[in-house]
Amino acid sequence: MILLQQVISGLATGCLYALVALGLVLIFKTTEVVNFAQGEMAMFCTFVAFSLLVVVGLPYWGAFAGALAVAAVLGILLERLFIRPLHKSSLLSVLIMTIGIMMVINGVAGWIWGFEPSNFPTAVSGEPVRLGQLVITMPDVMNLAVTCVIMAIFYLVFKYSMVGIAMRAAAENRVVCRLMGVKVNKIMATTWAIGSMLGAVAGILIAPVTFLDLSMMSEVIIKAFTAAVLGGFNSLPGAVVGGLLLGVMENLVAGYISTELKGAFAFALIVAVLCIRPTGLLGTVERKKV
Amino acid sequence: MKTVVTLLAVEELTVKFGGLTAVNALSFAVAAGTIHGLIGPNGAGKSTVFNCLSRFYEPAAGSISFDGHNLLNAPPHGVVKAGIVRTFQNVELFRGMTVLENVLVGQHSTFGGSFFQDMFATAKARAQEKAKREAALTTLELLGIADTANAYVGSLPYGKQKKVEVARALAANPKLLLLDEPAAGLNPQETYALGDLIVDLGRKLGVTVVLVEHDMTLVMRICDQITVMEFGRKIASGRPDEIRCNPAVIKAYLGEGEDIA
Amino acid sequence: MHRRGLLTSLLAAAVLLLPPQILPWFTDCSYYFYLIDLMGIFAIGTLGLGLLVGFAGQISIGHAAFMAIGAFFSGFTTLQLGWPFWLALPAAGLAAGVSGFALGFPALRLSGQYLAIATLGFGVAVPQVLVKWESVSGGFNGLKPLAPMLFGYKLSLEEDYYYLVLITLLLMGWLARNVVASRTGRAFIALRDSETAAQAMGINIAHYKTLAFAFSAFYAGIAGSLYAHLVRFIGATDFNLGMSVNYLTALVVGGLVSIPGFIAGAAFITALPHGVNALTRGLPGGMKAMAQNFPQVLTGVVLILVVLYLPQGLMQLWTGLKAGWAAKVRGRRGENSRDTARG
Repeated sequence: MILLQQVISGLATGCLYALVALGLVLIFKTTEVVNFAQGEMAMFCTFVAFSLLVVVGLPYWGAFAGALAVAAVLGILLERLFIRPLHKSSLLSVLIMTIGIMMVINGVAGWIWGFEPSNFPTAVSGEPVRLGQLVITMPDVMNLAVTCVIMAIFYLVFKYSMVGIAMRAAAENRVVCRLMGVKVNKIMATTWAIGSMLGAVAGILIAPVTFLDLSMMSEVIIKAFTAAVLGGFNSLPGAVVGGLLLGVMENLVAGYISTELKGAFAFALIVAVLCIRPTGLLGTVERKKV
Repeated sequence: MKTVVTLLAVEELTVKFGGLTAVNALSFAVAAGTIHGLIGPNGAGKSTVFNCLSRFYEPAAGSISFDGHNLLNAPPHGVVKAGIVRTFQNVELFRGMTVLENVLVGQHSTFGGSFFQDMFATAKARAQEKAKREAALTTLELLGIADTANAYVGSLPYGKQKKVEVARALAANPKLLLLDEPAAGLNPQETYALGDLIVDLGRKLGVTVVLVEHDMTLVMRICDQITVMEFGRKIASGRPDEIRCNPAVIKAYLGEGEDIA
Repeated sequence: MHRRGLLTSLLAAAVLLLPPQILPWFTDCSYYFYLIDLMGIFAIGTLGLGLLVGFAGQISIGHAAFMAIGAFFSGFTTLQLGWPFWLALPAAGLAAGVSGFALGFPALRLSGQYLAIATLGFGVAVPQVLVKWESVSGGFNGLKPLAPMLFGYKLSLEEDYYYLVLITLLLMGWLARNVVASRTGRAFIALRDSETAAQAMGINIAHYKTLAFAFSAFYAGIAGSLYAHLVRFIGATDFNLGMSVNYLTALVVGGLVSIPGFIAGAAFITALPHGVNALTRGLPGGMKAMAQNFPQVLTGVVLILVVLYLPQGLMQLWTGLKAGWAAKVRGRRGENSRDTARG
């Protein structure tokens, strides 16, 4: 039973990794950019949620929605102003750009909200759910529920709607898409908006645990990268699977081996996956035509 | 009567990409000192064959024998040492370097010396560098582009870039030169001059040439032997005058009309 | 012509070699020499990264990890094993070089974004591992290496350490320049510009990729050792992602394919936080806290702007200026300057 307990709480944490990883992979798949700023963007939006809650006095879900709106706008602005001009530039340039954005967002957040950590409320409070011997805390329930809902929406949208198909097409061949009348620019903007929102959701769910401060996402983002690599950086279901798997494995390592090694585990996993199977569990190889 | 030495022998070559068979049990032989054309409609598998010869692709079946050795034992970077060099359909020059430097890279496999000698700029390394530069200039002169030696390749017109690619390939002193659509993007005069150049080089340097081409005028004029492919298979093989009136070949091309590169 | 060359060399030698002997008589300039020493050290590290990223076209966002390896190797061997400095310094470079070589292997199977992530993972993992390895790194307390003894002379003053850094930088710069102008350098560039064509020309991609990683790591290791014995108090967490990003910034700012650019970029990024501190020294406390963030934000902004508008780094400005001037001169003579203005 203890095992199942570990697994369930691992899944709940894994959901958060999965959300951030999903945003990373979505942006990577559609715009071919590895967004190193993903964590800081999420942190920024979580602070916005905090301000909406505490300063403006909105109820929880109002602040949540407000933060998501800001996240969307942030994503669109970043894509339009800083990423789109670089679509013909080298990989290194884009990488540096996202690192630069990461540093600026972090610095600006410090200027706006200061450097002291704060408490962040959970979405739901109350008695943990008990299923026989299992105890699932309300925040965990929340994480699992939110993630399931988002996954379901994603699956339906991507598979069946025009937007989803257009996104997949834009990822494969931008020029042809344009010729077919697909508004590629809109797709890129939408992708970044969604990616940003996913990060914001994760940030808001994580903040109660890590406390709200500038470095709250720094460890999570590494875990998200690990999850994306594990699942396959160009596979959306892979990001989810990777996140959940990582959450569970981490918890098991912490429970059965040592809590100390939990941190090192993620790094070891990244290196191992990249050495053994760089495309991850569900990813595919991309080949260049000569 | 001249003895015919087979330099390259491809036997039953089969290449698959997932479920698609790009090359299907292809066999042909290239005699030393000749110019051999590999033609066929788009999608026939010609570039795939070249990529096999460069060892970029691993065939599912078949064998390739070059100069008496099994080519399939060589890694991609070992093909040059075996004696085969190639040019590329999409002109893969090194844009961060000048014409001369590109040709020097072509000579990479002919250099002795090591990284440490390079790092400490030993007298030996410097002397070799000087000698190689002079040899590279000679190759450029052979192609009539010695005046562009210090220009960055990106600044040259397309026709000259193609010549640089040939120079780079020749710098490795190959036995076999693979030319991948050398006339693509050239006008009829340039193509004619290219044909003369290829024949000239073959004669002067004793290099055997295999070329993949769509320009039939060029192919018919300079090739000694032609192999025709369609849908991964060989459908005809022989001298230009034989190929010209081969019904299978005509059918394969008339279906699409002749390509304009 | 010959006399002019000789004169310039003498002048350069004077400018480089005399100040540390003369200036201390007039004022306490140990802080400035400390800064110059740091700039020189980071320049060495940047030279290595520049060769890997700029010339060989690889990506590495974990360069600080190699510096850490060099720093702690040197600190540990001199403090615990009693090694003399003249042995520890090159050995530290070698230790880092070997790790670089090892990292090169997974790098063979990865490219682009995947390589970036792998080096990120490496860069984050190494300090973590070092912290846990307390016998070598002193854990959270860190190490306190001593000032080096060279030729019976203790280099505890920043003005004296300057000569060590200068000579090492000149030597490493000379080696780098030799490599760039040689067959190996061309192989690196070929690897960067077209792996396919490079292989077709006989360049063993695996060999050169691992070589590039080893070489750049070697430079970082040397820099690490020099760093350890200059600041004389190192902790594993000093060599974090921020430092790796600083190295990349140095490249971006200074230009990716220019050795003087590497040095200039390193000088810029090293001086930046000190410059900001100097400017904000007089400000009230609240603003001081904000100022603490300023180098980071400024670095980020510089990165963004340079990537957008000056993709070849600040050296692009310099070569643009030189070309513009050359064009003016030639314009007077009516010549076409376009293909000679390469800078």
